Amino acid sequence: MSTLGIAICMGLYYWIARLRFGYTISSALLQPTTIAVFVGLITGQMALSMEIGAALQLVYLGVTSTPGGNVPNDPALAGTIAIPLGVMSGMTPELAVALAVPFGVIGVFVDQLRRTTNAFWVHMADKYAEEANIAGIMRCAYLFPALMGFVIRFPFVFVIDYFGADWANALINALPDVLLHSFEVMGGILPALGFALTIMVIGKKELIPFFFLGYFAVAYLQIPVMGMAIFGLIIAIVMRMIVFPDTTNVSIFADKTAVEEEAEKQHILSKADVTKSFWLYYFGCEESNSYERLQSLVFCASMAPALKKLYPNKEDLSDALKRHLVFFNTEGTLGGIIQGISLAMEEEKAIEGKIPGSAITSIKTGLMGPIAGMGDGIVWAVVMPVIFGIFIPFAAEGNPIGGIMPLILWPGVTIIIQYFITHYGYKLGRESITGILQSGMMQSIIYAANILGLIMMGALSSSYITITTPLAFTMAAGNTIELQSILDGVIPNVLPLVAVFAIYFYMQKKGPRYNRILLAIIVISFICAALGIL
Amino acid sequence: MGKIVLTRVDSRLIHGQVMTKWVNQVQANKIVIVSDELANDEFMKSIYLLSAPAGITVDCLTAADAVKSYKDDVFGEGRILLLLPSLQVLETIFNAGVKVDSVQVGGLGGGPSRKVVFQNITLDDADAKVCEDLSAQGVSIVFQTIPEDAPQDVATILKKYRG
Repeated sequence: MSTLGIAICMGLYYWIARLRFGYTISSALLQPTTIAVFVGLITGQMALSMEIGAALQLVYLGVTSTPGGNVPNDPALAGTIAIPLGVMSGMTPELAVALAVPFGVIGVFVDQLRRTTNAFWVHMADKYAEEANIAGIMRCAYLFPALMGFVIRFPFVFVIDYFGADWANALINALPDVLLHSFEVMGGILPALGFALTIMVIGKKELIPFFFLGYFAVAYLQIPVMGMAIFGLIIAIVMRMIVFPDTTNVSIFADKTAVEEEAEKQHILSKADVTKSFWLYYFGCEESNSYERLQSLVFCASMAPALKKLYPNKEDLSDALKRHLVFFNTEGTLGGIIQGISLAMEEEKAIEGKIPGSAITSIKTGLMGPIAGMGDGIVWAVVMPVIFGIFIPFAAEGNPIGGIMPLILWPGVTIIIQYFITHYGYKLGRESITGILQSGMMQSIIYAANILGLIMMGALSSSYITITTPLAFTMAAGNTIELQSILDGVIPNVLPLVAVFAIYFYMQKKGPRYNRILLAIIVISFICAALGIL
Repeated sequence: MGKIVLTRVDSRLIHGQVMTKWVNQVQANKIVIVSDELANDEFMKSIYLLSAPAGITVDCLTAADAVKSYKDDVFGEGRILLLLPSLQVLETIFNAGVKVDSVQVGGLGGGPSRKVVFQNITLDDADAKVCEDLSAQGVSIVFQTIPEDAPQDVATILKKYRG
């Protein structure tokens, strides 16, 4: 494809991926290994594209979990610019990473612009709710943010990818060797930042030995990453059995009487109505997200068809729509349970008329926080980085499987969870949440997920952070001693471990100020490269 | 005696930013929520207590109980994250004797008369006044949603609110 064609495709890709249409599908499209598959297809250079994608994925693996949608960095802008430019000008993956970093930072400001402008649509929706105009609310939740997104996203990537190819070529030829080498050093160290950030999010100091387990299993035994995922899963399951012996046999459906009672209940909504609400919420979950009211607009839009069926009277419908336009935000996957409960309560209100509207609002606002805490802790802090992490080795070898498998698995797993939990919430209403929590199941799942996450981050750090020293000393007798081989003799692959924990302890003390640490790594890389230390 | 490692005002109380970021950042092992509404709602309260991950305990107290518990032994044992739903609750317990010296405002949801001042933090006139009063009494107030961001000081935010 011509440069013009590639630039247009990348601009469109960035726009569509950043729409956040489809909660986890879009978040998969934002990841560098997935972008690399697309770039490989349109440029015809799959192998190089995947290698660059893998290098970028390592840097951004730790910023996948973004509670409250506040991103410290934008892997998608970095990827849609650095991968095509890197491929077209034949860069090494390390050099492409150096090119990507500034764009990752710029992307954050672009997203702030989006969430600020999105406030406009929620105000518009307030008026439509007053008139019980559901079509209007749908336009505000899905159409207008998409159109605005095009204006915000497309031009930037198009211009840089179109004019940048020649410029990137010229730059590579003009760069002095020492600078090129410092970029390589930086590309090697940067993934340590991502891993340190992931350890911070997974948390619990007591569990850090599991990180070392993963790290040294790779360093000493050379276990491949996929193998480590299997062992890690087994260890996590065994640890869960030991620490939470009571919860392994508990079923969330154990309370049979509650299920039977619910089965006798009168229904207006069909299973298909609940499924429809689930899909509407899944697809729009983040698209219309604004700083002012976060997910309230899409939550209202996803409830709207069901509410219309429940409240034939226009006044009641308008009240219900307004009720669901109040401030709301949670983690979408586990948040399905809140939608299920809301549907059950609205139905009960419509049939019996006894529940006040404020009761529904207070259940929603009460649940959104704890559910988000659990969802972010399991789904985004562990499931996502582990799924993308275990396929990085494929990408690093130039294999598109490294991007295709996460694109299938990550949305697949989360959609299935959200689908079932939404129906479960609807079926049992308020009781569903106590059912899940009381069994202690969630606590034990978080615990096991944290262990698996730490083992995998350790294994990946050991496999993919490359820091070695060329320092050598010539002794009086004329023998040369290479520092790296001495280090390897004591503890193999020790420098990456030092880097991860140096960053981790800094974050623990001073806070994970992403951009400040990024800058420090750039400066240190340059100095160490210039002095010949790294 | 407990040790308060972070006092946060956040209308969403417990959620992702608190559980996956701040609890780990300040290494808290106990979250004390001060909310009359929550403390008096048995169902909701049980959900908050049960939603804590292993190794972390959650307490829900009314403002009056919180003041008493603070005066007794600073909420008992542990490294405490004191979590308040609004600046008004902060003012109430501060005036009643819970003399925290630094406060982080991490999230205040939107509403008709409220103005966005920083990310998903909004203020109204009453909130702005609380910020001013407490600052004047020497409380250091910063606005920060996640540890990755730079904290914004109260003067900058109030200027933005008035501007």
